[in-house]
Amino acid sequence: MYSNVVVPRHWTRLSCLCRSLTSLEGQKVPQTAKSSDGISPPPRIRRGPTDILQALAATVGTDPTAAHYKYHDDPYLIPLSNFRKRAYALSAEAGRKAAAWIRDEHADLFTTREWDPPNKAKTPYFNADPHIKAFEPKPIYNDESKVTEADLQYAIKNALIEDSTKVFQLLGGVEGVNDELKLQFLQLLCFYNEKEPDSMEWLEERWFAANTRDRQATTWRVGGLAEKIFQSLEPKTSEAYCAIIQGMAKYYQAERAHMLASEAIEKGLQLSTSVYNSLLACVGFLREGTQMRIEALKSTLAQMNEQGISPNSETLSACLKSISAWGGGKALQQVALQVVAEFRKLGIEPGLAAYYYLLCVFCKERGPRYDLLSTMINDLEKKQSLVATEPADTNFFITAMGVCSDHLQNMDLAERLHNLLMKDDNYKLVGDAYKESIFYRHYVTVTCRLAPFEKTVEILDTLIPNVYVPEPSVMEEIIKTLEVGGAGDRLAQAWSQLVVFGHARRARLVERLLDAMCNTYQGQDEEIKAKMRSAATDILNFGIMSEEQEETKELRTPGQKLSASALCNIVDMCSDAKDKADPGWQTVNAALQKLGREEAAGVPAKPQVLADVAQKAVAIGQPAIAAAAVTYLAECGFEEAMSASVQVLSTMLNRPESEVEALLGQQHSSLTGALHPSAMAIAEAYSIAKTGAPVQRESSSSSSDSDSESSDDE
Amino acid sequence: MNTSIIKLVQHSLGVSGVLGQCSPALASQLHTSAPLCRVVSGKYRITKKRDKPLTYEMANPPHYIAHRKSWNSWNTSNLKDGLRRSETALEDEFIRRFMTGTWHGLVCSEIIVKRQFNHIRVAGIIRRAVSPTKMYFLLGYTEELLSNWLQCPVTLELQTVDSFKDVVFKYI
Amino acid sequence: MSLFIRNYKPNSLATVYNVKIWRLHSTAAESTQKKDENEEEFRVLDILKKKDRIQRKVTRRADIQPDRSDRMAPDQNWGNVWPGPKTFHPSSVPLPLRQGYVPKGQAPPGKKANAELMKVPNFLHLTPPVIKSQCEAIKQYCTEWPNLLNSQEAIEKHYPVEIITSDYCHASPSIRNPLARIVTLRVKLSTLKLDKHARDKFIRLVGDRYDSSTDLVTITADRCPARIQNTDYVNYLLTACFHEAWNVEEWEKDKTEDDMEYYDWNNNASKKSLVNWHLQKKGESKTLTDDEYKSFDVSEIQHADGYKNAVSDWMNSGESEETVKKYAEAVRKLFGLPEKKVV
Repeated sequence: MYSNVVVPRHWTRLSCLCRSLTSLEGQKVPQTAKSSDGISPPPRIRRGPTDILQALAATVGTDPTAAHYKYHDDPYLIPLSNFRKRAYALSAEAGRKAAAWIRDEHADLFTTREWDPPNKAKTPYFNADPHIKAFEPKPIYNDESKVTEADLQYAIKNALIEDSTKVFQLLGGVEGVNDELKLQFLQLLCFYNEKEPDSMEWLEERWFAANTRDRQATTWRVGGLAEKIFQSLEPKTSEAYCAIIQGMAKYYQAERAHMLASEAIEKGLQLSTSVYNSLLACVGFLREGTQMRIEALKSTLAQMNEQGISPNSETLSACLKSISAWGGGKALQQVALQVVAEFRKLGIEPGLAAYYYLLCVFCKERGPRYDLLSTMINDLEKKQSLVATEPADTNFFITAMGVCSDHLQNMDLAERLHNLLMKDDNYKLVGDAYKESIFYRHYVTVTCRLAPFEKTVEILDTLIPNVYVPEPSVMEEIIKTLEVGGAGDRLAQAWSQLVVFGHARRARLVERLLDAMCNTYQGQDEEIKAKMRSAATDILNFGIMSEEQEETKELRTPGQKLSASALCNIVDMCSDAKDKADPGWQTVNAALQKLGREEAAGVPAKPQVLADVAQKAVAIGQPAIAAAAVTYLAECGFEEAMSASVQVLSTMLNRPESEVEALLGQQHSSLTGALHPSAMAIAEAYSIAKTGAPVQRESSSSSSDSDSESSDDE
Repeated sequence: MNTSIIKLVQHSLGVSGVLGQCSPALASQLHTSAPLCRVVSGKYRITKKRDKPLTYEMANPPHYIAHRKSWNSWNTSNLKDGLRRSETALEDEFIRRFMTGTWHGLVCSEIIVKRQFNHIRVAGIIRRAVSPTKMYFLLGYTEELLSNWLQCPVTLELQTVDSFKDVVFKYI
Repeated sequence: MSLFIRNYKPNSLATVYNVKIWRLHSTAAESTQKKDENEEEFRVLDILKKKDRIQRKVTRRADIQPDRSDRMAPDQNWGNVWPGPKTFHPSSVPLPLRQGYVPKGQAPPGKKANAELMKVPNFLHLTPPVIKSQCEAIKQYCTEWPNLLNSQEAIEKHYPVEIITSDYCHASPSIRNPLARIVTLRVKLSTLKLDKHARDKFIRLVGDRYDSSTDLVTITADRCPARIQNTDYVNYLLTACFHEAWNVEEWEKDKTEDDMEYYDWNNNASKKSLVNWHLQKKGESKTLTDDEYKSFDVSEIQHADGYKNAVSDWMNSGESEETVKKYAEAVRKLFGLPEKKVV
C-alpha cells in the first residue's frame, strides 16, 4: 500500500519540515559551514567515534603526586622504586594472563548459557550487546583440531605465527592451501622471521621487555617455512618477491636479498619502494670498507631510479641507517648531509628516525660538537603533530636527550625537547620503560649540572619518584647539586629516598650523601640541623641492621660497609649536640665503636674531626666517647692523636696543657691508679701515638675498658 | 508474623468483602519473605562479653538502608522499570562470592558493586596481609576474569587497611 | 588449713603429711614450680580453645608511604588528580571528611576505612572548573544555532513537524532498551493547509489522535523493533492520511446532514425558519429551494450574524448557561426586543 501512494510535492515538503527533537540525524543539511538561511541547521561537523573522548582527555594534565594510572591508587600499592614498578605491573599482567588462560582453556563455560539443559547443545550466549570481541575466548589449535581456511585467515589476520603454522600444517602444507592465502602467510612469516612476536594484548610485557636494540646480525631462518612457501608459489608474483626480499633484508640476509632482487628485475617484475628501503638498510653487508659501501648505496639508489620507483621518507631513513651503522668520520658525515640535501630537493623532509640516525652519525662521544639538534627541534616544534611511522622513531627522543646532556650540554635544548615530548600525545614516542628511564636519566643529569638550583628542584619534584626513579649515578648527581645548592633538608630527605628507591645498601652513594650533608651542615637552621642529625643516625642504624640481616640470612652478595670517612662524617654531625643527654651522643658512640672494631674500610680522610669531637665530648661530659675517639686516632697512627690527647686530657683534668704533657711524660705505671679510666685510656693513646706501640697493656683491653666505662656513664 | 497477616486478610475478606475492592493495594503490601521480619534478620546477637566486632555496615540493621547506610549495589535495574533485574542481582552476587573467594580472608567490608553503562566498578576494603605483588596479581586476575565472564569492563577500586580492627565500628 | 593443723597432734608422720598438703595448697607459684618439676604435664581440657584464639602479634607495616594528599599543592588542578569517576579513596582526597550515623556527642567515623564513603557515587570528577574546561574542549564539535530560529514561534513556524523519541542510559552490558524504539510525531493541523473537506476527512481518518483543543495531531508508532522503522512508519502514516484526505470518493457525496461532523447553520432548519421569518416580515412570500435557502445571504437581515453564531455555538459546543444566554441575547437583538434587565 505504501508503494501505491503517489508522492507528489507534499512529501518532499514534509520531509524537509521534519524536525527531530533528540537528534539531528537524518536531516538534510545544506553544504555550507554555517546555517545558510538562518533556519536550516548547519552541516554536522564530522567526528570519529572517539574524538569527543580524546577532546575530553586532552583537558586532563599530569598529577605529580600520582603514580601512573596502571598502578592502583593506594599508599600500599603505589610503587616507589624501579624494581617495584616493574614487579607490580608485571604481576598484574600475570594475573590477567592467568585469567585469559582459564578463559581459553574452558571456552565452553564462557560463551554458553548456564541455564541450558544438561544434555542439550549449548547455545552461544553473549551477555554484551553489541558483542565485544575482546572478551571472546581465543581458539586453541592442536593436532586434533578440525581446521578450515577461515582459521588460517583468522590466525594470519591476528599475527599468530605459531597458530597459523599449525593450521597451515593441518591443512596439508604447501599443497593444501590456495595461492592467495599462501602469499598472505608468506608475508606474515617474512615480517616476523617465523618467530612469535610479543602479543599486543600484553602491554606491560612489551613495555618492560629488554629488547632494546636489534642486533645487526644475520638472523634470517635459512631454508625455513617461508622459503619453502616461496619455492612452492608458481608463478612467483612480484608480491611474493617483495615479501621474501623484505624479510631477508630485514633480518640481514643481505646477499640473497639482493640476488633475489636482481632476479626479479631480470624477470621484469615490479618491486615496491619498501623493498628498496629494506635493501638500502642492509646494503652495508654486501661490501667491506666505507668507500665501497658508499658506492653500493649509490648504485642501489641509481637502480631504484632506473626502475622508476620514487623514494619516500623511509628511503631516507634507510639510507641514513646504513650510513650510521658504518661508523663515523668526515666522509660518512659528508655523504649523510648529501643524502639529506638530495631528498630535500625531492620534497622529502627527514622524519624522527632520520633525525635519530643523523644524530648517531654526527654526535659522537669524543667527536667535535655539531649543533644539529637545535635546528631539528625548531623543525619539530613547527610540526602539527608527530606521527610514528617506523620503529626507529622511538629512538629519537632518548638519543636527542643524550646529545643534550653529553654532547652539547645545553639545558635550554633539553627543556625544549622535554616540552616537545610532553606536547599532545607525543609521549607515545618515548618507546618503552628502558628508553623512558634513559631519557629521564639524561634529562635529570643535564638539569642537575646546568640548570639554576630552584629550577632543578622544581623539575626533580615533578619527576621523582612517580615518573622516574633515579639510578645510583643520577642520584649522585642530584646529591652533588643539592650540596652545591646547600639544601640541607633536601639532603636529609634524600636519605629516605635512597631507602625507598632501594639504593641504601650502596655504600659509595651513602658515603657521598654523608659527605654532602657534612659539607652543608654548617649554616643551616637548627631545625634542619636536627633533621640532618636524625638522618645520619638513621644511616648508621640502617647499616647496623642490614649487617645483622646479612649475618642471619647469609646473603650471597654481602653489602659494602661504610668507610671510615663516612662514619667520621656521622660522628661530626651527631656530635653537634649541646646537651649530654642528646641521642646524638649515642650515635657517636656507636659509630666510634664501629670504627674501633675496624668494621669500616680505610681510614678517615679528616682526622681533625675526630680530635674536635673528642674535645667537644669531654667538654660536655662524655669522657668515654672522647677516649674512644682519641684511642682510635692513635691506633690509626694519625699525628693529631698526640695533640688531641693532650688537649683532651687538659680539659678533663682541668690543667694547662704543658702540665699535662709533663704528666704524660712520666712513667706509665705511676698513672694507673691515679687517673680516671677514660683519662687513662687517653694517656695510653698518647703513648701509642708517641711510640707507635702500647705500653704495658694491650690496646684491646684499654678499648674494652673504655667501652665498659662508657656504658657506665650512660 | 507473616501468617498472622495472611489470616487477618483472609478474615477481613471473609467477613465484609469490602477489602476485596482494594485488594491490589493490600497485595502489594503482603510480603511473605524474610526481610519483613525486622526483629531478627540482618541483626547481630549481643555477646556476653561484648567483644563481637561489628563494622558500620553490620551495626546498622537493614531497615536503616537509605537512612543511616546506603546500598551495596548501585545500578539502574533497581529503579522503576529497570531492565535486567534478575540478571543484575545474580551477577552482583557472583561478583561478591568471587571476590570473597579470590581475596580469601582479605576482604574487610562488603563488596560494593557500582555499574555505569557497561562498566562495573567493584569497591571494597582489603587487609594488607599479602604482599603488594600478590595483590597486583589478584587485581589483574579478578578484573580480567570477571570482565570475560560478564563481558563488561570491570575495574577494582580497593582501599587497603592494616587490619580488620580498622573497620570495626563497635563491639557488642 | 591452719585449723586442720592445730587439731592434729604433731607426730612425725602427720607432720610430714601435713607439710605435703600445705605445700600443695599454699601458693600458685609453688604449684607451678611443681608442675615444671614433674615430667608429665597435666593436660588441661581446653574446651573453648582459648590458646588458639590468641592472635599472633600483628606486625604493622612501617614501610607504607604517607598519603599522597599530604603532598598536594594547595593550588593544584583538581581535575588532574581526579580525572574520571572513581570510588572515593581517603589517601587521594585532601578533605577532612566524615560519614556515618552515631549517637549524639560522638564524632562520625573518619574518612579512612569508611565503606559508606566508598558507596556514595561521588562527583569529585565533575567540579565546576572541570565542567567548564570540558565544555570548552567539546565546543569544536558544536555548530551554531540558526539565528532566525530565535523563538518558540519561529521554530514552530519553520519546523512544524516534531519527531519525539527517547534515548535511555542504563547500567547493563547491553545498550538496547526496547522503549527507545517508540517514535511520536506531532504536527499542528493548521500547518497542513487543508481545505474544509480535506480537513474534515483528515480528522475522521486520524480519529482520537487529533486533539481539537491544541490543534495537534499526535501519531505514535511502536510496532516495529527499530526506531528508524517506526520513524518511517509515522512519516508514512502522516503522508498517507494527508493524501487520502484530499481524495474525494464517490460515496462521499452521499453524506447527509446526519453525517455532519458539526452543526452547519446554513444547512439546517434554523436558517430556513430565519429566512422564512425574514421574508414574511418583508411581506414577500416565495417558496425557495433547498439550495436557495443554503446560499441565501443573511447579511441583509439585521443581527442575523449574531443569531447564526449563537445557534451554531449552542449546537456545536452543547447547551450551557453561556450559550443559552448568548442565544437569548441574539434573539432579543434579532427581534428588536429590549435587553434583559439585570435584576
